Amino acid sequence: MMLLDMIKADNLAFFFSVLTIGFFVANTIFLIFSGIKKGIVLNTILSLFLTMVLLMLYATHNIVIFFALWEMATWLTYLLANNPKKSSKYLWASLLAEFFMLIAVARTVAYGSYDIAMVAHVDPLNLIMFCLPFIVKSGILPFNFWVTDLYTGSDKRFVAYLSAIIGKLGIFGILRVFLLSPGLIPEWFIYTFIYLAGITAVWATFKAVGSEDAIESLSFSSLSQVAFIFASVLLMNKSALIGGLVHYLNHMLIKMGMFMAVVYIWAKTGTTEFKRLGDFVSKMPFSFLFFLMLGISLAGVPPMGGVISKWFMYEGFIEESKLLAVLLFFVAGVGSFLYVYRLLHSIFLGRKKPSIGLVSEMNILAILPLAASALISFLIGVYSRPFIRFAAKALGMDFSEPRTDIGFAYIGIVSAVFGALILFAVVLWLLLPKHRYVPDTEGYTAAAYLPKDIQHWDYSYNFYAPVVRLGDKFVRLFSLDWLARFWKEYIAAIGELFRGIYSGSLKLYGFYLMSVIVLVLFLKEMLK
Amino acid sequence: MNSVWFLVFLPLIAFLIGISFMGIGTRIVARIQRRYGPPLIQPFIDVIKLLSKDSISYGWVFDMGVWMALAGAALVVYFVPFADNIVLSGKADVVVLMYILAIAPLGMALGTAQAKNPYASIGISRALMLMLGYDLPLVMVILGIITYTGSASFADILSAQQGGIGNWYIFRLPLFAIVYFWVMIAEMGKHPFDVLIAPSEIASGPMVEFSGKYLGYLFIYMALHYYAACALFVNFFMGGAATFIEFYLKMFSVFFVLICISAVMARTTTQRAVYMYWTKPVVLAFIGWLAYLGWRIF
Repeated sequence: MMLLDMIKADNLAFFFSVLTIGFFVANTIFLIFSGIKKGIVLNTILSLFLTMVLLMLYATHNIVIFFALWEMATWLTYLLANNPKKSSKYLWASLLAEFFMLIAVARTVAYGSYDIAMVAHVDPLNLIMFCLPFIVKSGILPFNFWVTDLYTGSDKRFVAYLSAIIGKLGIFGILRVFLLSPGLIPEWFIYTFIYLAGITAVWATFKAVGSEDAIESLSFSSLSQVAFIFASVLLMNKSALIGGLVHYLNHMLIKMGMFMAVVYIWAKTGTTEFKRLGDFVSKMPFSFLFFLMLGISLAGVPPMGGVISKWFMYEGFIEESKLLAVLLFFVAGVGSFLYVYRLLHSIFLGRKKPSIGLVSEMNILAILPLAASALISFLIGVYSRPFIRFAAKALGMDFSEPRTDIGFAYIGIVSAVFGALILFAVVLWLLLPKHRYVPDTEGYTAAAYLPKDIQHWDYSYNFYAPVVRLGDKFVRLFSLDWLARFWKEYIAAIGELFRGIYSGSLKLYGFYLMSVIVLVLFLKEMLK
Repeated sequence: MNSVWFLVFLPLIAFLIGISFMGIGTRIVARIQRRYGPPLIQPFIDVIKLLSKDSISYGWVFDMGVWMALAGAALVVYFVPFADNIVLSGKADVVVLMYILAIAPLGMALGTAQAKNPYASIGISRALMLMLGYDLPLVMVILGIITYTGSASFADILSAQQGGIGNWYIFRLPLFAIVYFWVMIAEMGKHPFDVLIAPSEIASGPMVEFSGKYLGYLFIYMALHYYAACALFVNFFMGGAATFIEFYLKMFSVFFVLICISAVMARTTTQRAVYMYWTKPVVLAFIGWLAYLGWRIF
């Protein structure tokens, strides 16, 4: 049956399969050749299993098989994270959501179909129950409580997989169900989760901006971008859908490359804390160049690919008059400048730290996936037509919308003019009087002497302190720690109540028994 | 005027307008503070002097930063309508323009980071935080303009304001104009929001390590930025312009008001500036939105 499902694989499955296989191959090449030896074999085998499960998941239209594969993906993710304590919230949230998915599966089967397209035909409640694991996997509010622990506590070698593929699995799920059920999705569901995704994006951006760790910052950035894609997909607008899928592709490339660089640094230095890193550009110039290109793409600055996908998504929201959503995602977009700059400044630029002695440039095979991701992201920016065609085909959509053509011409002009202006700036710079390169110890320091311990003449800790202070209440409110605390206290209170019942006193048990008998008799009389 | 030569020389024209504003602005501030002030062409002399001097660099990212800053600022000039010329900006989308505006500051920030001076890093951190602050009301205003016009294209925004002074958005959408102007003060790094430069605290912040042609490039970038900021206000709220003279005078009037307000203000702190932008202009823009929706309904 599964084989038959595989044969029925559609364009959407093809799109996601190509990206997942591409990511797995690139990530494996990087792990093998980057010199990270510890735990690679087990990690690669589990990743291979997970990739195979995902390929089958993308292909199947059978609701029972879909559920089984989704469940397997959850458990494999848990195993790959390799930190039972930190992954427990993720596991329980996923399993709870999958329990509802199972109910939806049972109801659909009882309705008389095994086809995923029929989920929405049963009733709206069935659809919502089926989609709950997609929302949980995407970390959309109020299901973002597992994100911090899993991203920060996971095996570092796995975080790229988590960010580039697993974190976006919910987007595939939503597309799979929604594209097959046009007109059956309740509007309140769509709008509620679009705005919740908007708040999630802003929340995750603030977390990324305030983070003091490169992996943590990139992880929250992923959550923010996933929320943006999630909302675009929910909107079911043509521009937003195409933009969302192109952003899926672009963001996968971005996070693949950026995580590779950071994981490599972690493997060599044992840290990803900003205050312990700096000036790696002097040892890893090529890695920096590709990291910079990907960072620019993440921020959505031309001529990299991020601007195309974000622009299409904004167009979709504006067309549907979802202006509050535009506002939320734009704030998150501006926030991305802050954390992208922090990553560039504190890892590759900035002051030299002792950790720099432990690194050297990646070898050519390890850097290849990083280079490829940066160059493809650049291609999306300067010649996006084939990528948008690829996304449109996956969605089964026509590609000849005038607005889209204007978009290509417009972004093409931006890239061409920017290229010409850079060339002019370089030529003029070469013609002007000469310059000489000096070490940072010969810089201007506002008439002050440089301290002897120069590594402390640096600004890399608490980089955005004023904004972090301002956003602290918002971040704490939506971190839902208060909900977890409340839930913990509630469970403790219920437990205390039960503990009181089981006191061990026979007299008390006799009293309970008598009370129950009296209550039953009383109810019996009342119901006569 | 839509000739190739005009396009080639447009950044030069924009630079001359911007540098003239810098000169006049310094003089206005001096007169308000009862000083004589430097000659009007002093900024121009500074640029020529800086470009003709030897300089020091800290590495290739430092070099690349100033190229990006100059090219990014010039790129913006091409996509902002200039008087009756909307050649490239005819298809310009306001949303994308907001991202193009980020190229030049990002370039400067990168160059700054390789210089490793903490004053520069603090300056860039402050600039980015301020941007996060003022972009919230700015986006509210931009969305208001897009909704009111029914298009995100500059050509449509300008044509909607034609047919008399009463059609200018400064009169049709006055609250949005006030908020945009408020944002402009921070965007141009003027008092009381000059926290990123703050000479007495962080020795000119991002520019502390730049010298010679590198600093000259940043001066040109600043001039182009002055031009773009004023031109955007004229195009968004004052109906654009039919002739160069009209365009210049409108831009200058905006700059004049801005510099007069700025001259009598004292610098605030970063946290207070960001908080202020997240509250007062947001409320004002929100009232603007309510007024617009009320007008639509009734």
